[in-house]
Amino acid sequence: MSINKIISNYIVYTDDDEFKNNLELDENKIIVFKNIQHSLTVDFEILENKALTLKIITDGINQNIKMSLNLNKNSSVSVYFLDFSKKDSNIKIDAYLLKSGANFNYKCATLGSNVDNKNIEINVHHLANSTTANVENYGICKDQSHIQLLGCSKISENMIKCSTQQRAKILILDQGASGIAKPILKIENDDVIANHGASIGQLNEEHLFYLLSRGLSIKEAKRLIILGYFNNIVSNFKNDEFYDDINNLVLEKV
Amino acid sequence: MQSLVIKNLHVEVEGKEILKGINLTINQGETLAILGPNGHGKSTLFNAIMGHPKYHITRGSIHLNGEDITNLSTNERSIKGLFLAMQNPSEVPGVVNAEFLRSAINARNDKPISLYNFYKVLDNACKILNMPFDLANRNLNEGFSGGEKKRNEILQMILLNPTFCMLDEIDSGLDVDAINDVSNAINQLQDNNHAFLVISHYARLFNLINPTHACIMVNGQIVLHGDASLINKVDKEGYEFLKTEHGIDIEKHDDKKMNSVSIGVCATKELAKNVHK
Repeated sequence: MSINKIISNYIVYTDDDEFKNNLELDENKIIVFKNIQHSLTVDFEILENKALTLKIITDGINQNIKMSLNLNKNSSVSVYFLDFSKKDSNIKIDAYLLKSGANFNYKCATLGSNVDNKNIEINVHHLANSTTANVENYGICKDQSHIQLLGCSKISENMIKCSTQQRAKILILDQGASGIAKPILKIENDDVIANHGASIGQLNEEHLFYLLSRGLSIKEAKRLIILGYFNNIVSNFKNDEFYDDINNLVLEKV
Repeated sequence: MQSLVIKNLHVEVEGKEILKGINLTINQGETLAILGPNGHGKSTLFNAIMGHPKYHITRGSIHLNGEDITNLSTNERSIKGLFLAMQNPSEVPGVVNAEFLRSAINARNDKPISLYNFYKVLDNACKILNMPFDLANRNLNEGFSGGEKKRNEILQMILLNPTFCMLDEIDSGLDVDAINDVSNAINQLQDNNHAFLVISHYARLFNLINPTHACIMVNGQIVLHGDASLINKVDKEGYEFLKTEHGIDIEKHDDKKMNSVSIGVCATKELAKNVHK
């Protein structure tokens, strides 16, 4: 399955495309960033009371993407991100919650293999009262790959009744693989709900034993567990007409 | 006739010897009830037979139909016909139950099962257990109630059709109806092609599945072996008769010593009393 086969319904950005920043972003969009070799900067403005779902799939080499999301009053952005990019990838998203009621929800699963070196940084700036955000990053490191999951959620001194969450989890599958998870909170007042969590580890021995005890080979058991990380994201594509294509793509990549 | 033979099995967990020379033989067509107080090695025996990496076999061997499987991998043991319904089945996030079950069926067949046939056998198995079909589309054991997890274990047993089924406290956490459903499923497999090793603390399950033999494990050894009447004796008298009739002392496990660091709750109460004086 090539990503080319499933892109007809998507907005696809490649090196050859001229990117337009003034898209009407008041409806669901699926965006594929493909083979972008240079730094691409994307700015989205989400208008008052608008809800945007971004479904992003990266499949290129040396992806270098910077995205800024500016959220106005009672607007919301949900990002579901499947990252299969190769070699050196730098992905940075900044969500600016400019007005009250703005909500940012982000889930990403990234797969590192060979000698991939990936840096994913998701920052949330709570710049108004009663803004909410949830950031979840999952990384799977195979072979000699390295994944760095960074993120900072900042709530300033005068911004009250905000809620924010930063999570980063990295699964190390091979001896030469490595990862760094740093989900940071910078909270400058007490009237907030905020939590963060990071974990880096190998496959859970009990999970593996359970699957092996039913006859699955180690390879198949690992594949199912890794797939589980991606299913967490893919489940958000379920109502899309191209769900099967996405599913097949993930099955092939994993 | 196929058989599972355990010879002089010694097993250590984290450097501590738990099993101290187990000898046991079970043949197709038999159902063995394994009794014994908590913490005396029953679950360890099952995990060691299944090849759990935490349980180290230091002496002895496990033979399946004459073949020494002591050093075989867990999945190879499964494919050869061993099955363990676990006391606390793992919750595996993100792994869809149905996908897992299909992979498990395919692992023991030359040709992958078609989606149509898979859902057909899955539907039949769910009906036997009065189990809602939608559990198959949820993540493996994730968010399942205790009873749902146990039904899911038996569902796997039905689908994989192993020869030797080890059931570790399969009745714990089950309501009356669920125990009936689970025992019905076991009854359907109790024939000359299957054998069951069943751990339970309650006579109720054993009354429903009619074991052919029973044994009692104490201190990491099988100290008594007999027919099903042993179950009723334990149910009525507990394990005291082991000491009075057979002179077997049941080792007490050391109570965990209290942590030297107190959170201060008791001290606070004492302090409060003193203040009121």
